[in-house]
Amino acid sequence: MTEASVIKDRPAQLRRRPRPAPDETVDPVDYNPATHTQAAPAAAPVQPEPDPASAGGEQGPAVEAAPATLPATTAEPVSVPEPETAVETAVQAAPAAVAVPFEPQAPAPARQASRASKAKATTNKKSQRREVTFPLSTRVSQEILDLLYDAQENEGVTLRDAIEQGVRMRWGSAR
Amino acid sequence: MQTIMVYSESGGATKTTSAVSLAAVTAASGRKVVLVDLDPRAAATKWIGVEPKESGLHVGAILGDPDPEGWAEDLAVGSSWFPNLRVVPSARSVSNREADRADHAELRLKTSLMGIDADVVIIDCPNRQGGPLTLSALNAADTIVYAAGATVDGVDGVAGARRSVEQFRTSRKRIGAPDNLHEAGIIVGAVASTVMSRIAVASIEELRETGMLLTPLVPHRTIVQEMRMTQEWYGEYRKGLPVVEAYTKLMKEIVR
Repeated sequence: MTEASVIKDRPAQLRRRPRPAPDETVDPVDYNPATHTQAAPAAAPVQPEPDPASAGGEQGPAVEAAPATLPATTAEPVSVPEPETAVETAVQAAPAAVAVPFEPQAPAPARQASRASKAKATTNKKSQRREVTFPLSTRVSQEILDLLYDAQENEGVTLRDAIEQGVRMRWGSAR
Repeated sequence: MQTIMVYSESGGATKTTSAVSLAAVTAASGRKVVLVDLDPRAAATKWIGVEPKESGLHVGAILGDPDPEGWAEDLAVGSSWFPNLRVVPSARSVSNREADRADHAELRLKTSLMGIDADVVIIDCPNRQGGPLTLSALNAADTIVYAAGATVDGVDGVAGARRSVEQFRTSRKRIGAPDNLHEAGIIVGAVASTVMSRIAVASIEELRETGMLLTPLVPHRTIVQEMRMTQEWYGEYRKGLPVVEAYTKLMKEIVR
């Protein structure tokens, strides 16, 4: 009889090779609403009541507006989107979520609409990323501080603009 | 084979420093050592400067598979520090396992160590109050070493860790499982021995009262933290030798 010490568990060729965990590519803190709304019922768009006051015991338009965003969200792939994609999705979804319930009563103010479209236009273009800036923490005299605040108040410039303009006037631009 | 887990419920309690140092001095003594980095922060992995053999093949693969028998041997990667020191690396995604409610998931690390070619396995634990990662280490280990700094948090971390271990033992006894977990003692690391603060003195006294304080106390040397940036073993530098000496003495107390 074979000794216990030489008995093997299974043939070497049948041994399972290590493989990554199924959620290896999922970041532990990267919460993705798309993955949580996959199983949400009624992917069909919800048509809001024209007159919220006649809704009776039903929930108000703000509550009904939530499912209206579901189709757009569930259409997203399960994989974690890039941050810029997520921003784009949010920007695209936001006007629909706001406009659907309120449009019958009162159209969205023009200012809000233009802000939303402007945000979409600026945040999605890599060429228009915000300029890299650095904190400048220093003490200055009361006179300079007063001058800066006066310029801010009278000319409407920011403190950053005032400092940058002054430095450029004295020492030129490094660009 | 001896499996040692280095544990505290407090962050910054010199767990990683103690685990890596014990692994290094044990390897320097000629034993075959595998360091398992169980912390999703992967501090030990970064310090020793190892990468998984393939993408995703770190300790998270072991914890995420129902049958990882012998995988620790496959996943262990060699280090540049000692030829007989290998590391099972960790990664940020290991944190996903903390939400894993699969049956017997806490036994996977132990299963993965079957057949491993090592004399000593050292597990660098995360600072968790129980949970899947800590339970994995408790099930895999036969020796536990608590790590503490000479601070109030250090004492608190050991007290919490001992509570977790006690609960684990009680649960094992209830189901009639053997209790083979040996508490080797408490390592106090990074002790500023030249000018010791009142808090440090009080903390060390409190740890001594447990009857588990291991000596010598490990002295603080800046080079130990500096080596984390350069991914080197501080034992190669003169300034690190007092720390190496302390951990070597502690290793003789802990490693069978």
